[in-house]
Amino acid sequence: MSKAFSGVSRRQILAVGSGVTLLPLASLLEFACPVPSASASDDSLRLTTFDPREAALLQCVSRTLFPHDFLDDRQYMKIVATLDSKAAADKDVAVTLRAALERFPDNFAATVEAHREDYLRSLEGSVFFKLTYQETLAGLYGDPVVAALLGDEGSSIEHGGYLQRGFDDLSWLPADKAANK
Amino acid sequence: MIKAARFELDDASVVVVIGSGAGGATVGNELAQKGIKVICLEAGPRLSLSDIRNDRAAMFTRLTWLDPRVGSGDLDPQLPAFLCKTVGGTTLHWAAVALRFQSHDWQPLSVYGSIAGANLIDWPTTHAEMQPWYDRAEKKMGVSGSAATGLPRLPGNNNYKVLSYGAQKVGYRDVYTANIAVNSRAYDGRPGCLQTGFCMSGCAIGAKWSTLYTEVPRAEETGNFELRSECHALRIEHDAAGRASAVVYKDAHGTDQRQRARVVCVAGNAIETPRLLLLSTTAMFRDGLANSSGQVGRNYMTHTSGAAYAVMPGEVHADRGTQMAGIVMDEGRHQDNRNFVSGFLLETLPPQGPLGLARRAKPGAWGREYARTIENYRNVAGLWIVGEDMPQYGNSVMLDPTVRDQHGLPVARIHHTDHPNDAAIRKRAWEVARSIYEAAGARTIHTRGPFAATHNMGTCRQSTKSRDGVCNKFGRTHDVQNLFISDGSQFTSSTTQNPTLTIVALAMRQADYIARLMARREL
Repeated sequence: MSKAFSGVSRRQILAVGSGVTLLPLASLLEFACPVPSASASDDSLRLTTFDPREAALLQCVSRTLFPHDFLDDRQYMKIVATLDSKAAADKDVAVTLRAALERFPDNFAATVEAHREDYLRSLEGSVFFKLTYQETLAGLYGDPVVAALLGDEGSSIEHGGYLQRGFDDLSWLPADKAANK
Repeated sequence: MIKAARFELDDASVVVVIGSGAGGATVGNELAQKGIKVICLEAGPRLSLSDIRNDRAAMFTRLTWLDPRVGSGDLDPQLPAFLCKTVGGTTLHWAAVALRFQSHDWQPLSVYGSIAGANLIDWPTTHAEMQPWYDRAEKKMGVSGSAATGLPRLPGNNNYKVLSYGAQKVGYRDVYTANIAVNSRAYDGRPGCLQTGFCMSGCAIGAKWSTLYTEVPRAEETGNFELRSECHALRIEHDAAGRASAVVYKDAHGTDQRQRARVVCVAGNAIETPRLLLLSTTAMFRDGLANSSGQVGRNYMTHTSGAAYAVMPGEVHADRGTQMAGIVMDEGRHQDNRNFVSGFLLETLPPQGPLGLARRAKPGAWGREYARTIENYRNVAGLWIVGEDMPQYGNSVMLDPTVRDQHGLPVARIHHTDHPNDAAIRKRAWEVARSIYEAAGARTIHTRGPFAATHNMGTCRQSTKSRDGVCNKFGRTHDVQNLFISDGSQFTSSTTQNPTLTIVALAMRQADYIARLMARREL
């Protein structure tokens, strides 16, 4: 069991689980948004509304809102795909998102995270922000794959619950005060 | 074998109970056990245990009353009030904390004194007269940690261990796994708890008390009880003498039906109960049924709630195990030397998955730092604040003038704002929560304000005088002698305790009262 204050570094969780040492925060902040690659080869993520520039920007927005370095681009592209289908179904959504993307700085995806955060903070309260925020939050953490990577253990009833599987296995506190009275 | 009764629509000898949750199914079953004919109308569908899955999102959608409502004040506009629309009502969702009121809770005005802005009165019900009913309610529900049941307390899960350690380290002593209506061993034909987690998504093995698989089938077995699920009450009718005479409802096929009644018990939760009375306005009852006091829909109370989520130095896996089997009681006692009256309890509350954590720990937050909290999901401990919420006349459930539901009826317009006492309680509770988690070594602590919980109370309150409230100490309305309030709407004050045990105890006492009146032909 990890006693570390366990942040997780880019993609490493896939290989080694949760007990990973954190990269220095400063180095992470240097990263620009990765160039999207997942969409081209994956039919399930084929977009009908957004062009490649818009899709890349939306993916970068999603990652900036909830940046998890261990998640690959595909997870964020799935959120773009959801936004794309919403935009396809609702013209107002399409117009709102595209108009906001049109005004994004040219170098948004290439700039460091702190600058991207600053720009998104300036959009807080806008419909664009609300749409992308809500979709990223629900789409990312509501995805069972992502939830499992973060430690969600899913349904337990078919395993007999946790009665014999660690509901009270915490051992890093002194036992005397943690025990049941 | 279930031999559920079938009664005719024009059978005027039946008691019609509206709602099948803690109040409705309990009063219905108790009456049926005494040989009284009961029809229970439930707006939601009837699930079975096999429908209950460990899937928070799916069960939320399946159980929750999601008909449109309008919320204002400090309520979440997306979900201004949380209750369930299903056979069993909110007992499907509840976390099963089953606490008795403290002795002072029955006399808030006498103990706290008059408080500006608070519409306080004492309950007409007394502490002493409720104790035997609490004993009976605890036995019915299989409350662990109750002297009446003899059931031992549940073991503490990891989230409890963190709370317990921190609380004791800062000097609290009344810290334990609460009294919970979850079987600590097999009881009443239901199994012991498997520490599954997911209590609030419905207990898949029935270890948690819910009327879905206790009161409802027990009542049906008497042959005196007919459940009509997916039947949504639209209004209560009365006769020329001002007595409730029938309930009009929309049946499962969308057809309006009129069920005649000898007695009507309303238990639609403190949102739908006042709404139904207000929808039952007539020439004789111009402000709504049983509303000569003007208090129907008034004094809507939730609890002064909030939450704290702490990133601990080691793994907690707080979503494992009984969700709310953990409590700090020390701050729940009223003390004269604080800048607020009454107090608050702290109860374990798990994050409910990474999504629950992301949504709740710091609403609206995003960015690298917040993502790190979510990445530490495994290490998160959490608690919920349950403080007394002052009754305020302006906190209310009214009919919305414009928005209509699927039946064409005005939806509930719900308003709630904090009283200064509520705000002082929450501020102190946040400080205490921080000190507890810091004492246990927390690295990051998020405190936050309330989100909709299923604690809805007070919109048809009990009162000694008919001008102060809607019903008497048995839930019988002051204005309509054969109309009863059978749910948490009848609460005169919110107290610091979770409401369900008291709802059940009051419903049992009400059934006893109704049966006595009927035997004497006074109903």
